[in-house]
Amino acid sequence: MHTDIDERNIARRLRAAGDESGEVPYDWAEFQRRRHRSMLTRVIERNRPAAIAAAVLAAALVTAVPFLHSGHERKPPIASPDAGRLRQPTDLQEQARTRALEGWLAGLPQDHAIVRVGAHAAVTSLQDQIAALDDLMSAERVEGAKPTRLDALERQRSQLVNSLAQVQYAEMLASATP
Amino acid sequence: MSRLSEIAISEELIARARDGEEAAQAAIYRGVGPAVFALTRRLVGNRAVAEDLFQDTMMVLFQRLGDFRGEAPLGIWLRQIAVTRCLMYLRSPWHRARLQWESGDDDSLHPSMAPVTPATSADALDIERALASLTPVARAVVWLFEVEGYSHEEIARLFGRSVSFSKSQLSRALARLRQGLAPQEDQEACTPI
Repeated sequence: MHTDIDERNIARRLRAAGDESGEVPYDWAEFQRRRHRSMLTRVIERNRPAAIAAAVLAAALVTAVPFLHSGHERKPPIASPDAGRLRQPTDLQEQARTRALEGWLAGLPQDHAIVRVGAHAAVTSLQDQIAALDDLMSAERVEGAKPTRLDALERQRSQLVNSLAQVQYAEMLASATP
Repeated sequence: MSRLSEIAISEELIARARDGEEAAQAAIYRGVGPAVFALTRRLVGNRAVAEDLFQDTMMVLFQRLGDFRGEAPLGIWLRQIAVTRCLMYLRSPWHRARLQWESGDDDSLHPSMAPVTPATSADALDIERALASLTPVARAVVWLFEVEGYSHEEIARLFGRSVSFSKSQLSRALARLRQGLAPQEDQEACTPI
């Protein structure tokens, strides 16, 4: 009996609390702002796979261009005696950047959680090309190749590492997408 | 009067909002918004989560206004949208994981379940505190049954559980509320006039 009275009393008090006037967390203008932002986010989410595919394609193109050019056996441009000295700081920066990228790439998990055939093939191909370039550069150094030739190879290597980083990053984003 | 089921919105205003008139939509927002937010806060407790669910509910309202046939008041229709969204959140693995982080294995008290609305009276404050001591599911059941007028069958359907689940949750929630409110009542009785 006492319990029934208590329960009725609690129910009455709950309903009274339900009648307490509340307020909206934010006004109409803020609601509209959040609504537009949310719609924009949905559009981006919907188009994310296409964006990733475009990034992979762009990376593949960037990779392909230097190799297409190297197939023509062009003569290296004649550099002035000062050119090597002037370019040195930039080259060092570029090499440092490449090393940083390689460090980041080394930190990535070796086993891909989800293997997407396109991206995986691109990564493997880029890694092979970098390894081949490393071999070539070692051989050229042993044979006493000209500095300009070594510079060209170094630049080519930087481009490959850049492309690899872009593809790996795109793949990482794709894996994180639910 | 802040319960959704009791808010009256004119058909003419709904028709204008359905046609995309922003002023009409803003008027509906101001009319039903406070009750929608109060309900979502009651059901999920956490303010930030309630804001997200409120935003979601109001967006769905304006997106689906064309489907509203007017067979029931707009508030009832909107309440269903809000309740469904809140219960989806309460059932989500993310929410359950969050509760575990916050309170370990202790299922009795959740720090995030702070008092919901700014209470305007001492009695309302007591109720808020007592409600905050309930688990989210128990609070949702007691609120839907006692305040929103849902039946045990409707609550069971909403949670995808049996009627006895709803009854036992309500019984335990009321027992806990009784316990939580008792000391305050004793204190009031002893207060010298």
